Amino acid sequence: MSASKKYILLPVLLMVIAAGVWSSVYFEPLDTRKDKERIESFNPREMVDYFWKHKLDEVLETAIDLSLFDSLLKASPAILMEQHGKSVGVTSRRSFLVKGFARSVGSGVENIPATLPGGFVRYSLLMKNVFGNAARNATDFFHVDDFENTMDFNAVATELNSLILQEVIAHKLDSIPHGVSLRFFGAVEVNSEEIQAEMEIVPLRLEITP
Amino acid sequence: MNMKTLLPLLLMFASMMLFVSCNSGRTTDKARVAVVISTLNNPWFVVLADAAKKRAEELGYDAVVFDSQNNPSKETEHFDNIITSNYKAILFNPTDAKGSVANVKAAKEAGIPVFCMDREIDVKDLAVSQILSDNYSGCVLLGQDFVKRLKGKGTYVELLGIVGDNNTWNRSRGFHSVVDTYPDLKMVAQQSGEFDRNKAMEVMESMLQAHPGINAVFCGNDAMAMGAYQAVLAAGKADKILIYGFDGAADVVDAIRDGKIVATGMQFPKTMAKTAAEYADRHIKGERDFQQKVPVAVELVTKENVDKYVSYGKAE
Repeated sequence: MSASKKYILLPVLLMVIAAGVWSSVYFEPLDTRKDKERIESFNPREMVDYFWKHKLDEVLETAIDLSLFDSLLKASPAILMEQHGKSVGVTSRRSFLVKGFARSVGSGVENIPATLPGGFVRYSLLMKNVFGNAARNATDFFHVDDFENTMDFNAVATELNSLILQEVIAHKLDSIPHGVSLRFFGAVEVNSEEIQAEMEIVPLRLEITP
Repeated sequence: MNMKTLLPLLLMFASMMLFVSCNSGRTTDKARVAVVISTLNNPWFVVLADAAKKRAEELGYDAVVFDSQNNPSKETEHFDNIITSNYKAILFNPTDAKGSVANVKAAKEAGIPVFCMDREIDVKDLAVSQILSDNYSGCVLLGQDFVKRLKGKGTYVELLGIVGDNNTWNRSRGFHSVVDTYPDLKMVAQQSGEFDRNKAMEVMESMLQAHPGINAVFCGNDAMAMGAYQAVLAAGKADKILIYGFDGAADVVDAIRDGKIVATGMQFPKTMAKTAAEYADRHIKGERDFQQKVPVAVELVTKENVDKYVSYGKAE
């Protein structure tokens, strides 16, 4: 082989090898890879779907009236926290299941005010993205010690929030006419060290009432 | 009896008395508790170690601190020594969620209870209890602040912690559980800074070269946030890029007050260490009913509320 052919062949060979190596590997974000590994052994969505289909009714039976919640919050917050609050670990935050009524105020709103004239706190139903652990903790159905690690426990909170957005918030936002009365069940989180004047309730069920 | 026969007897008696005296001294010695820490090359873990040692000593134990230097083999050496040295409990900050499992198993088999602090191991029922920051919820709060300040749009990068540490992923997932619901917020790069200030600075420098127009950086701990700040400052973009951290370190609390860093998630290492030491004491005294996982709440610190906080805790 002549020297000039060698000079042409070598870069071509290198390009072929480089193309081969490139096509044999692919890159993905670290968090995507981690998610895949975890999902192979644990499916939080399945767990949350099971809860939603088979246990939600039972859990909602433990909800307390918003009026009772509000009066206890005003008069005896410590008793409210101890008797009805749910928490995980060392925290001043407690989650509660409450039930009450609200009146829809039309589409495009982020929150629907709950009906509680003269309340100690102003409550509203969250009608946008749901974040955090309030819903998971308030149900008291999922317990951290049942999970191999806290990532799985937290994945359940994320999936439950996503299901609430999909099944309750997005669904109802489209179908509720303006001005109708709603009965709701929901989760509310309270910081016992700093009680806020306004609180958002994560809706777990919304029903149009006559 | 002459002196020749009496002298050896006297010496033997004296030796026996010395032996008895030494032994009786040993039996009155305090029981020992080991505090095994992933690294003491980070102020956060120094606070954790000091608080665990202090509380164990207040409870009447001799507490000895072991530094694993972020090296799982070093950690195994420590466990081997502890297991053969009659320690009553181990207050443990693991180097790796999976890699540290064998050490905890060995201690359990040797009858030494282990109480994890801050970092968890990926197996249930080996450690008596695992007292951990609620990283996920803390980063949900940071994510909400992030979205609010960026008005739901822009580009950002993320500096992850050590890939084998569950804290890294709990923080990242908590943050993304919020931020990913805003389609106009785009993450353009994500890389590990290994919870290390210098490494984070290097990574951030590269990221800034590749993505000079970013609006924000989310860092998995405060050391990396300070490293990122140095890189951003050197690039002349300190007033353009929002920096978020996690931990509640003194320099970051000051930087938030000065407007250099936007926010951090305040952890409470003293609470975790104190709880672990108290659980160990109760276990040594016979109690067996402990919650396996005990998350400790994390709080959002911003310029608006920074005066309520000091490094790794609330202001008195």
